[in-house]
Amino acid sequence: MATYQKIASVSVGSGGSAQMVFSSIPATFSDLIIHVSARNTYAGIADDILLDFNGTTTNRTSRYLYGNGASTLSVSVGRGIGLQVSNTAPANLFGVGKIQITQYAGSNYKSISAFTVTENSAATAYAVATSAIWSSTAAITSIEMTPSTGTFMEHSSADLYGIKNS
Amino acid sequence: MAITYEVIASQTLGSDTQFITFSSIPQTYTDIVLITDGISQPAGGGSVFVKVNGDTAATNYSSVYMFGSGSSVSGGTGDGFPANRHNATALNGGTGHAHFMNYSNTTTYKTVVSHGGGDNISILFASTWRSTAAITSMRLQMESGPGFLTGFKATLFGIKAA
Repeated sequence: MATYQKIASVSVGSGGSAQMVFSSIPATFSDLIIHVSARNTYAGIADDILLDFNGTTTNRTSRYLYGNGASTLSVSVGRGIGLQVSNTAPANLFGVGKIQITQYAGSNYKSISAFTVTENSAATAYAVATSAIWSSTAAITSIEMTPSTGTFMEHSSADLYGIKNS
Repeated sequence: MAITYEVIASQTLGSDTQFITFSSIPQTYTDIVLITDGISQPAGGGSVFVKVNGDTAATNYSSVYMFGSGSSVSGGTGDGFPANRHNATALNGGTGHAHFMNYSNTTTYKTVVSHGGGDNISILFASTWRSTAAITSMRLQMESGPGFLTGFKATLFGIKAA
């Protein structure tokens, strides 16, 4: 069996969506990886993607390390996992990112690392390295991604992969 | 379909240990990826340093790093070969992802790019081992302190380019 397996995909249709959700995640892998491409309706250049687990919005903390082409900054952002392109950016551009959750079915708090970028060729863009945790000892059975503002726009998508370590 | 991302070896510690070693690394991949997760010492957190092929000469390693604490940014250089970073907090050790590019070639120095941290830091490393030898083994150790605690997991993956 392959080490790196696709579990599920989500794609946003016309009309947009309030969330992208993966549910009924099997506990048979070691780690999870999400590849995401997203744009939301927020009237700005970029906006946070909020990442939550098992239907809860608590016990999430994150640290962003990011650059915008002019300076480097670090912020604490709670539920955020990175940035997506938002709706005043040029059309047809989406932010992309990779989110890795190690030992998602284990009994420690869940550690997460992520890279997201919002290059948009016209205005301020961001590259974000995020370290985060979900302070819960429960196994992750569902993942919810939510725009900080507004909704995900059509053609936003995410793929969930499971990684086996044996 | 060819398998391009494979587990080479994985270790989950049953007791506290100072070193984690991967030996006899096959030379059949293009890149190798080290994923670590768990709790380490010293208290306050630290970086995972990698010694390659038994080479302990500090002058053969160099790195540049930058990190954010959630309120400030800092960076610097060092003479280690850091791969990831972990904490000593119960239940909350952090995770790390280190990518060793073209590890088996015998013409260039070896470079690793990595990202790690937990809920108190996000850190990026770019590091070099100044040797043209292929990487055949690696030993992980914390930059200071006794090491890795029970339950710490380290997995080495191989990535094929064809």
